[in-house]
Amino acid sequence: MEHPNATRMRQTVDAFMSGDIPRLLQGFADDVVWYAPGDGPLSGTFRGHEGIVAFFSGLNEASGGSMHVHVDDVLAGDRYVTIFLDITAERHDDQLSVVVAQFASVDGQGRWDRCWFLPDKLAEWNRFFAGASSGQR
Amino acid sequence: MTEHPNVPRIRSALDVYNSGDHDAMKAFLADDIVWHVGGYHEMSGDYAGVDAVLGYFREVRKKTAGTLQVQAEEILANDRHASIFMHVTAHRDVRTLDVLLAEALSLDDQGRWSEYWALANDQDAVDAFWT
Repeated sequence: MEHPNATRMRQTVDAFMSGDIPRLLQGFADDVVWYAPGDGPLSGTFRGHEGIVAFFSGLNEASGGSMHVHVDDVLAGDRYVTIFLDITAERHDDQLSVVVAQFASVDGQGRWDRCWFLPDKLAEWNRFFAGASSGQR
Repeated sequence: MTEHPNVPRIRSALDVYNSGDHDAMKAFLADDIVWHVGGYHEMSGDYAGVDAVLGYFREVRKKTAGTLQVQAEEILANDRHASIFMHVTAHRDVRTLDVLLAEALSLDDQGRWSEYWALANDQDAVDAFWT
């Protein structure tokens, strides 16, 4: 049987894919810290629910709504979860195809309180999202 | 819940890494491993193949005078993937590194590491340490 934290992480990803921001935010602690790598506008440390909305809105806008996310695998324990996502997107003639490892730690109420969002091919990710505009440090 | 066999295997690999016996790490790495080092410092980049990765390990050990140590807080694994949440500490001259690193691993059918990528909770600190 799947660990409950794995199921909840699948639900978080599903909420993002369906654009259901309130359901997305239910999964995150109020003081969540979100780490994203790279040197683009969607890089750096995002804090709180506002930060989560800024990051995901930026992703969605920068990909022109073309982003497709496929859940490849989930690893979960009581304190940590990692989900492996195949992410593709297209913009003009540019194409993105990366594997993202999204890590999260779980607080006492079962919400994500620290998250790491990590594409394997960072240079490709940076190039694709270089024009995004919703980042914050 | 029963621990997946790749969990103790990774724990052994980390013990070997901390011991500095990097040639012994070879047993845990796929021949065609790709090791992504993120950030913006002199060690950043992709290391392809087991020899390149072992060379990277040796360089890290040299630059930190053997002080870099990893301590896993959690290891999650199945047949195909693993993730490690680990504290990494090191000294380099007067500089100190102390970060929590989230690491992703793809595993081959023998449980060897075939791809590695990682992100620290303070990437600026990592960049400053290595630059």
